[in-house]
Amino acid sequence: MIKLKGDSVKRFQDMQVARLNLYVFLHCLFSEPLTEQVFISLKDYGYTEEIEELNEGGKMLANFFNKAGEAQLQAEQNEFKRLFIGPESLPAPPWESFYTTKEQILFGETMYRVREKYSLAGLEYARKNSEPEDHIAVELEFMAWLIEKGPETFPEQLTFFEEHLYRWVPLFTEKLCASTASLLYKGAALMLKDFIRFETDTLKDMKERLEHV
Amino acid sequence: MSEDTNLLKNKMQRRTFLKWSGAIGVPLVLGGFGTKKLLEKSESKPAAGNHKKDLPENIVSTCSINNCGGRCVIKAHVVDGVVTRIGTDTNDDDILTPQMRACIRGRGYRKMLYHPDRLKYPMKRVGKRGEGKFERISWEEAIDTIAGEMKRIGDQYGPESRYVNYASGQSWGLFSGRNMARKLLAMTGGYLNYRNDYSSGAANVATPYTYGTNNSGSSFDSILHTKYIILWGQNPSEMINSTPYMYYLREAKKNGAKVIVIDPRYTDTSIGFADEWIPILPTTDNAMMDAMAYVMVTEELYDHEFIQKYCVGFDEASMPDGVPEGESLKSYLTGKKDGIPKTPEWAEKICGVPAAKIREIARDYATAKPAALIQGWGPQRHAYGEQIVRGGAQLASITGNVGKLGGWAAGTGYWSRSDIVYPIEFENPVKASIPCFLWSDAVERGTELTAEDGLEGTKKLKSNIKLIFNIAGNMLVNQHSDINKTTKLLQDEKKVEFIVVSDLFMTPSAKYADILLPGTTFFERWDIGVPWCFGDYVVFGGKAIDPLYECRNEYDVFANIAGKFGLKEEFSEGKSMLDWVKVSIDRTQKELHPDFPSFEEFSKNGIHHFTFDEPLVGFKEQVEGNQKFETPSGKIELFSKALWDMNKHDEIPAIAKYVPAWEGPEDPLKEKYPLQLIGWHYKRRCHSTHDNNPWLEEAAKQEMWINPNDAEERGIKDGDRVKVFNDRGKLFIDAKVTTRIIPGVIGIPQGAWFTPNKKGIDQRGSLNVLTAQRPTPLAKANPQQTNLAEVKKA
Repeated sequence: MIKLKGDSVKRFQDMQVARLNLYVFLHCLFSEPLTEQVFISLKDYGYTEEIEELNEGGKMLANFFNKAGEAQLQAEQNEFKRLFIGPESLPAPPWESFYTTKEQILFGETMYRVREKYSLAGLEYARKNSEPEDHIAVELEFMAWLIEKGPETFPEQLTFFEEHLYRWVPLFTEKLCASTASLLYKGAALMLKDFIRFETDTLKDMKERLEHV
Repeated sequence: MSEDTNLLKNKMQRRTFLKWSGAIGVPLVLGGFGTKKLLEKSESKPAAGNHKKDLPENIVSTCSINNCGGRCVIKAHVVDGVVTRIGTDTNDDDILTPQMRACIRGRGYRKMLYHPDRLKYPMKRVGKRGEGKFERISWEEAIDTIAGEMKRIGDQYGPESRYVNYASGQSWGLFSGRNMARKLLAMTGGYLNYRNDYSSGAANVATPYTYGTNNSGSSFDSILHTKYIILWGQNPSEMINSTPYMYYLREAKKNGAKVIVIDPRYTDTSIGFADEWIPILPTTDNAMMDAMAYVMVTEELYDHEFIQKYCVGFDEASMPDGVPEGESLKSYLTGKKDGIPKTPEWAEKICGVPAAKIREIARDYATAKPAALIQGWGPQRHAYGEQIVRGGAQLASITGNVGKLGGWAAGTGYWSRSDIVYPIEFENPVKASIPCFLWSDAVERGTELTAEDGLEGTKKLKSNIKLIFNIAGNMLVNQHSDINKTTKLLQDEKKVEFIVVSDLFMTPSAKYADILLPGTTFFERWDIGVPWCFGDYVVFGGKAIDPLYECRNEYDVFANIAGKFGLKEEFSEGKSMLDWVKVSIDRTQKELHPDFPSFEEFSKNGIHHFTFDEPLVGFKEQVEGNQKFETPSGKIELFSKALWDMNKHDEIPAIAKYVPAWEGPEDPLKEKYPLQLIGWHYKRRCHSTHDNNPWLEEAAKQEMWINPNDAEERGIKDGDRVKVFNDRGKLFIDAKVTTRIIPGVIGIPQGAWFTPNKKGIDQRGSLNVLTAQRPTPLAKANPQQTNLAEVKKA
């Protein structure tokens, strides 16, 4: 069992909720073209302030959510398709093994390690062997799933983060930033990039504050 | 402000970040938004056995069936549903059953299978045609739309308006996507047929005028018995004619055969095999051939007895009736009629090969018995490509190298003595057909085409082409001549009203689809791979993995479309692709080769070699036995009365002869565009397949070859970016300055994907921007090696 050192339980819990929310938020942006329903929800519930303060990417996202009309939303939906679905060549393929295998292919060696980690957690990708499970949205979903499970999964969170997201997300976001001028997706890329950097510190910090008993 | 100017400022602050802990006003939880993609397994498997190294590996023997002349064994190592590694043939290596090992293209297939750019979902066009705007749709919608348009266009314009374009992306197996499209069209009223191909189009029509058939080749083991080999415009080191061919060439050399390669470029084949490389100007091969024949005739080196016995038209005494005096081969060569003896000196001025060298080769070839003159197909993709194959056949005939072990009859050069059963059959109720190269004419002015254009089976077409299925092929744009003309034609949505493309990637052709379907690679389906028309082997095509993403085999796609016509059962006969493979194997065993392996054996070995006691020698029965040649005279027609009667003697002569080409070295257009431009089959591609594999680009870059003389005149240095242009268009490409190409000629390897910038100017070096749609006179075939162009430093 994993326990928290000292008296910072509330602070720790807040941190987990914040992390979870951001993982889910990013998962939501990277998993499919932004629907009108999600767009309105995010806008109406007033996330924009929190987003704006986070970083430069947040500013771009806030800018988008505050100002975008129907036409811009549609344009961003098309941008998602251009970036992540095709049919044209994908400028920043959103799959890990593209960045972490020398062949630069999908379904590469590192995908097995991702598959293995899902499997150890009792999970299986819904589209196994049809699409690679190391898609950015799926990896973010896995982290969120682990966080939701509670602090017991901290070792898995740490391992998955260090062995996967930490290794390829900077390469992916760099390519993505260079490939789009869209407020939503350049914003999301910058947000993801900084968040991964932030998570590195957070997880290090958590490691120190958690003790195994 | 740039997002990275102030790292500190951009860095997420913990305090700010923690505000997200309160951000739970909406159900921002997993699954609240976005599709949940990870599912809890119903039963948790034990942790052990999950690691890749602990998982079992299954090795599936399979085979690519694209338009490569060879078929190699591809061993897919499959772990947990993923191809992790590719091996190749590891069976015993024997001279008569050599290993069928993959080249760099074959070894790199995972780059194709798992390329991030694979087409993954069905799409429909949403912008203007060719603009590249598509939207993902369901398979149901794609199939409904296709069935609806097939019917609408068929009803409105008649079946002759429906066309399946020449496509060779997956053409050498039991299924072939384009045949599945044809089958369904045949079942629902029919379609406009095409004849011939883009590979050996002129040869296929011309060679039979000499020999009565295109099967003028011999099995490759026959060259072990030859003393002298001329590879005329053939480059099997790069353009794999047949997987084992090069083993035999190597062995032939070991046996002492001398190898001469005639080619404008110093090819890899020349480097690897040639005792001598003879550079020649494109389109002028027949001048050298004429001069060689002249030497043989004037020096009495020809085989009198053979000619007497088997040939028509050599001299005035052996001419068919009804032809005036002075039209025989000998009369032409000696200049009896036109006053020009076709001497080596005459030829040197045209083709650039020194007269002394022409004499030497003529003498060596005529006296080294047996000798094999083997023709590549590059030279016949020329303005008058018909002459080149008949010219080669003429030399083989007058030297008596036809029908003899170790000889070779030249011409098209197909040979085959083994086959399998192709069980999927259909019959098109429409009999009208066009030469495949004229499809764009049939779009533009189909109803105006006549027999003169090569229209057969009908006097007039009732409609222009209105519907095109382009299944696994890049001929719609990239591989057809004159890309700028073709794309303009396709952009007009009133001309072709509906285009369906199925492919692996967004090729330049796929961009012109109205419905775009994601096809499968050979790893994702069952099949049997056969080589081109040569080779005593077939390769098993095992299915290694299920189709990725939402990709579908075209067999299944057309079976589904058939369902919309109530014909699914009739289309598939209730069989899957695997079922059909088994039917083919069973029937091959029963009907053709009793010792053909069972499905189990075949899939285990991955390959079946047909073995024979002795080499197949083309025309052996005619020369050794009493069989007649399948020509009107029953003999080898050096002079063809049938061609004579066409009465177009300038462009379609009755004997093979040099006909100066438009856009050849004697065309006055040379003033404006002084360089002859040719293409070649590059080792890094199979036609346009693999162009998007960056590893192969590293192995062999897309670049234009230019001789130092020509480069210096233009101030071009090795590696410079250059503009290549003529009246049909322009493109940009890097120059490779090399003595490996003859002065006056530039070469751009064919098959690079047309990659226009915003102004429509190709940035990759796609040869067909500069090639012409003018067909050859007899075959109506593609003249894609006949071009004049100019180069400037960009």
